Amino acid sequence: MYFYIYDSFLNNNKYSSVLNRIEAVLTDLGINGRIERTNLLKNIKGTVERNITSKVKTLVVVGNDKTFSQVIASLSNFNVTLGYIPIGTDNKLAKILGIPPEEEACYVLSSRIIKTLDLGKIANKEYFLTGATITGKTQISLDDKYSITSDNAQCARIENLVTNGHYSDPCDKMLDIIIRPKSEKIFGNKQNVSILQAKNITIQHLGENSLPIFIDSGSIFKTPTTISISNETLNIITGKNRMF
Amino acid sequence: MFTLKDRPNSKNTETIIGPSVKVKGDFTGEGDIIVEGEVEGSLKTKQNLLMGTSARIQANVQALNAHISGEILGNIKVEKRITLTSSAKITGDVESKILIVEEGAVINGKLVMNTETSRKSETKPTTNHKYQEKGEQIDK
Repeated sequence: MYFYIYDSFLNNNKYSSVLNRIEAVLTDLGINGRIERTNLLKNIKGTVERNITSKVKTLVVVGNDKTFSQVIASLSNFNVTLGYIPIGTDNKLAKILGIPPEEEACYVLSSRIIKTLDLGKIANKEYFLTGATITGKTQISLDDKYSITSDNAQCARIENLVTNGHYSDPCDKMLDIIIRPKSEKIFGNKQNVSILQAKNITIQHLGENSLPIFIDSGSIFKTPTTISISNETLNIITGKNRMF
Repeated sequence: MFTLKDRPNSKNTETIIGPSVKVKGDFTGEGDIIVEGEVEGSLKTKQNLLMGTSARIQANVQALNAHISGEILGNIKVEKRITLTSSAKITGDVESKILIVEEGAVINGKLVMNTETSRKSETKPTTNHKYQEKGEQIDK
């Protein structure tokens, strides 16, 4: 059974024609199903919790990258297969998964190329597929074996899935820690990005105040906290042009 | 053998420690490691170690091959080949099967090479020496 969850921004009239076209293609392909639209009163988390039962085999997110990340963060049952119909052309995660926008995504959905991907988990509370961003001076401990600090870090990224040009294997049961320097060039020499890997990461702020950690779903956590590779995995319908 | 010029972004390089990053603790890796920052503690990998000119390692090091251009305070044990470039400085013991030392490299420690499957240690000469029949040395 297919279950479609629409993000609230699609309630705007300007999206009605694209949604009509998508629904027509889904019907032609025989993969139409129940549709649930979210809005101010009916958020994604609540909709997912109420409706994703064991009868739902495929949950399709209709929206943008943030919608997709929010649905993953709301899941408690990982036996469901996740599909994605991206609306708009500026969806980086969709490109990484090899899913074209709008009607073309329906054909990817129909072909059902399923990949099992790792998930990250932050503070033992929320799951994420792509990654998290930390800005400010921090000490990052990896697997309780060693720690890293940087005097010149612009930001640190904890990544599970390839983003921002860096290749991160989403099936290797490891998280990548990417530290980008503040300045591209110092004294004429190009500073380089640092890349390390770990399964369990502890992040502590250096200084008095906690620092925010921004998850790609939009959630914000504060240091100190832990990010680890989860035991749970997620089956996602991907396209043949995926970047992993 | 790799050099700093072809700093990979490929899957083979597991770890890159950039110039402004400090690592403290016992670091163990499975793939290639590129160090351009600081490492304190111990550093082990089953593959290759590439160390930049600004890199500083205060640790015992183990690797399959190593290309050293920075400073190591500690012992280094390499299974196959170690290359010390002109800016390399090692304060500690060096153990490997093959050793390549460029002019300007500094080693303050013991040097051990496995002679069972040995190859000559190759040192690049700094000057050509011409010897007369009696064994006197004449600089060219």
